[in-house]
Parts: sequence; C-alpha cells; structure tokens
Amino acid sequence: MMGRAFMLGSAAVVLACTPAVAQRSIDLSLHGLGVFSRRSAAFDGGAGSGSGRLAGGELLARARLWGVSLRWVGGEFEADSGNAAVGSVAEGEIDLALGPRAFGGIFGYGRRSYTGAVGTRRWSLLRVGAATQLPLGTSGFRAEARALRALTLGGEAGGSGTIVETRLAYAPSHLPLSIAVGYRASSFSSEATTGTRPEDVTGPLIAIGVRWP
Amino acid sequence: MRKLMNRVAIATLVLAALLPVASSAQTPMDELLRRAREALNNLEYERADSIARSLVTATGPGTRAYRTTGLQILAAALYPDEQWAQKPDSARKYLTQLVRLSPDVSMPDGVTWPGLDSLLEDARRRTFAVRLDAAGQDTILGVDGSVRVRVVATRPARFRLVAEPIDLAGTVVHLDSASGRVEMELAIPVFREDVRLLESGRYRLRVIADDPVSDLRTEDLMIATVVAPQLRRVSIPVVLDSTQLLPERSAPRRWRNGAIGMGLGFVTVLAGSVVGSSNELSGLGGDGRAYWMAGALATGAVLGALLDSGASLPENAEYNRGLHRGFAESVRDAQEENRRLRDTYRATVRYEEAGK
Repeated sequence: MMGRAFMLGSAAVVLACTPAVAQRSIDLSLHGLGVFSRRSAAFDGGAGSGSGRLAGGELLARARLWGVSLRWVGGEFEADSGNAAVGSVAEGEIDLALGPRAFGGIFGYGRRSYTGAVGTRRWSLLRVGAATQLPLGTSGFRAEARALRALTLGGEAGGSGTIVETRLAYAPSHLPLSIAVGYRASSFSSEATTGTRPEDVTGPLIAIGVRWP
Repeated sequence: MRKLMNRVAIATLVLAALLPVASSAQTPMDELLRRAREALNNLEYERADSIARSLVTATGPGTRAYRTTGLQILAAALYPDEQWAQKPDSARKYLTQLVRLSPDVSMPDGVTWPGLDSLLEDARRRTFAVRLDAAGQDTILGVDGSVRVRVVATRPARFRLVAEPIDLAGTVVHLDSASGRVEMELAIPVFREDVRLLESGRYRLRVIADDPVSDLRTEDLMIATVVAPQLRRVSIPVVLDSTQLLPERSAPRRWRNGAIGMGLGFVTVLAGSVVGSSNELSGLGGDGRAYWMAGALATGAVLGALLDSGASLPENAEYNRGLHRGFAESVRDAQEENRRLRDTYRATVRYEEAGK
C-alpha cells in the first residue's frame, strides 16, 4: 500500500518536473536503493541484533534552490543475537529541500512501520533537518550528507528518531548514469505500553540509477 | 627604268634610317646618309661606298640603325646589278657584318636584286648571330609580372638572357632562357618566387645564343636601366600572443575537495558511533562497518578530488575564441594587403644600345 503511494508520488514528481528537466534547470534522478542493514533493538527487557537487506528506490529532483525527494525502503531482518530485532521494517518519506545545494534545510513527511513479535506497528513522522551536496570539482564526484530529526505525528507506536546519511555520488558527464555509495544510520525510540523500545538501523547503502539530464 | 627604281628605293631606305631621329635636327650622320644616297643615285658606287663606310664605323646613340642602313648601302654599292661594278667578296664581308648586326635583316625592295639577295642569304647561312631587340621603356606590373624582349638569331638556338650589374655590386642574374626557334621572346622579371632579382640601377643585358648543332656561341648586348622600388610588405603576425589568452579552466581545488572527502568520512564515523548507540543497545556494540565505510568514502572522495581538472570557464573560452577570430582576421587582412601591394607593384626598364 505504502509502496504504491510512493510510486504514484514519484510519477507525479516526474511529470511535474518534466518541463524544467527539459530546460536543464532541474536535475532528476531515479535510483534503486539497497541498504545492507544491521538492526539493533530492545524489547521487553531483552536486546538483540539482526541483519537484513533493505531494498527500495528513490526519486530525486533538485533545482538551484529547492528539491524534492521520494524514498522508500523495506526488508526483513533475521536474528544475529536474541529475537528483539527480528521482523520487517518499511519506511517511506517525502522531503522538500530548501536552500542551495551546498547547505539547505529539509522538511518532510514519513511513514514507518515494523512487524515483529508484537505484530505490525505504523506511524507517521515529521522530518526536519539539513543536507549538503558538495561537488568535488569537475571529477563528477559529489559528497552528500544529511541529518534529520524525525518527530512522531502519532500512530500505533509513535516514536521519534534521528537519521544520518552520508554518500559519495558519482555521475559521469557523458553518461546518464548515477551511482552512490554511502552509509545510513537511523535511531528510533518507540513508545509502547510495555515501555520504550529503542531501535538502531545502520549499514552501508548503494544507489544505482539514471539521471536527467 | 631600273635605275629610277633603284633611286626611289634608296631614297626610301635613307628616309627609313632617318625615322628614329626624325624629330630631332639634322645630325652629321644624317648628312652622311644624304650624301651616300646622292652618290648611289648618281651611280657613283665608289663614292657611295666611301661614305657608307664612315656610317658603318660610326659610334654613339642610335648608331645601330645608321650602321644597318650604311651596311645595306655599302652592300648595294659593292654588288650592284651592273656586272662591271660588282665586288662580291667585299660585299659578302659587309653582308656578314649586316647579318651580325641584324640577323633577320633583308635588303629593301628595289635596292636588291636576286644576286644580292642570294649573297645575303649565303652570308646569313654562314654566320651565327643573335640580336636582342628592345627599345624605349617597358613597365613591369605586379611582383609576378615581367616584360618580354625579342631575340632573333640566324638559326634555331638555345637562348639565355642574363643581367650584369654595371654600377651595382652583385653577380650576374639569370633572367630567362628558351630554345628551339629562330625568334623567341625572353622575360625580364624583377622578382622570381618573391625573391628579388634586380635592384634599381644599370645593367648590361646579355643574350647568349648557343647553336646546339655546331656548338657555336654568340651574344648580343643592351644596356637596361631598371627602376625597381622596394616592395612594401605588411608584416603578417605569426602566432597569437598567448599572454592575451585567458585560462579556459579554473585551477583545480584539490585541497578543498580533499578536505570535503575527509569531512565526509568524519561524518560517516559520527553517524555510526553517535546515532546508533542508545543506552539500551550499548551492550550490542556499535556498527563497526561505519569505520570501514568512512575510510572508503574518504578515500574515494580524495581520489575523486585528485581527478578534478578544474571547471570550464565559458566566458573566458568565448573571449579566447574572439581573440583567435581577431587574429585570423588580422592575418587575412595583412595577406590581402600584401596581395594588393604585390599586384600594384610597378618597375620600369629603359633600354639603350650598347654597341656591338
């Protein structure tokens, strides 16, 4: 359901940006996303960790002073130690970036869910943060970093968190290709009737896709 | 009747000899011609012979025409139709001189008779002579231009035309050559392939004729006064002054970019160690892969920074293109101006007899 919504949102962004892309005033890229994640979670007095590969996609549209991004990832975690981290996680988000690429603010909306021993929990998040994109000269490489605070907007298991992501992106000038490797770390602390449930999801990420122009 | 015709012809001959100096006053040479004519008209062959000899030995400007006419009168006086007055050996000697002076000469109608014509042809056949035929003044137009002078010989020959400086220091200049016919035209250029051949000054123009059959050589001379001003040229720029060019790429900022890469690694370490480390989960340990990724990202970013070749500067590139266009235009203008100067170049050659 969430995936379909984000796909529709992506299509809407693409259509909206098409004239600007044609004029080369907006960079548009579509990536497949993979995060080789490690999930650490505590539940009911026990803590455990698990590994899983989150897969998804992202659509990024960036103009000189603003940008829009849509992202969705999800995947299963298998236990490495204990059972607290076992389950599946899904995240979807739409962010609006304001300001120049070198440094701008991020305001967005996200949905997060996990399915574990307690069943499925979903909640909404308000996302606020900052991001930077710094080209490394004319090499085609670009350093990217963003840090966000995700504030719960309520739901079945409202929990706030922090997300930090770094990337080294490469876009060759002669090919419509875009590749990025990076590291993503998120830390959430969900409130439940049984108490606070902290959860970290960290891991290297890779994004490969196409870009226009 | 025949004698009457002889007289008319000789009068015509004398008149023709006077033509080059017709506009000037009567000279002692004209007086001699007049007296020779009278003697020939009165059948006083010995007197005509004597007067004509003084014409033949005369020197000075315009004497070639007098000498030619004198030799014609002399030959006619020495070999008239009247058998008692014929002196064929002497006539042949002067006809040989006449042919040397003017290889394509013929005896005027009326004066001559078949016997004299045969004697002239015999002298021409036995004599190898060449004449350089030019008079007055010629103008050479353009650097590639030239004037042509006529050369005539008694038989087909190889001709070479050279100029020997008289008042100037310098060596003999080869001007032109041709072969194969009795009569040809040879060129006098001032430049050859943009190399100057003749400076302003007086030259001895020498035509040398070689008979390829008999290996005989003969020549003729004229004096030529050349007025050949210096050819003006506009200097053509060779290369564009590179100091005027602006850099078309900015200098690579490798230190800055390297610092960004290091910063990316640092933030990645922070992400792994700070974000993923709440109290309840501290017992599980952090994600050590963050350090590896931090190292990889920093290394990749630094390598990427080293690949930076600087940003292109389109304004400077356009400015440089304008400079190149301007340079090409200035080269074209200079070449065009030089072409015009070459085409409008003028030199003159004035000829004088050198005697023989």
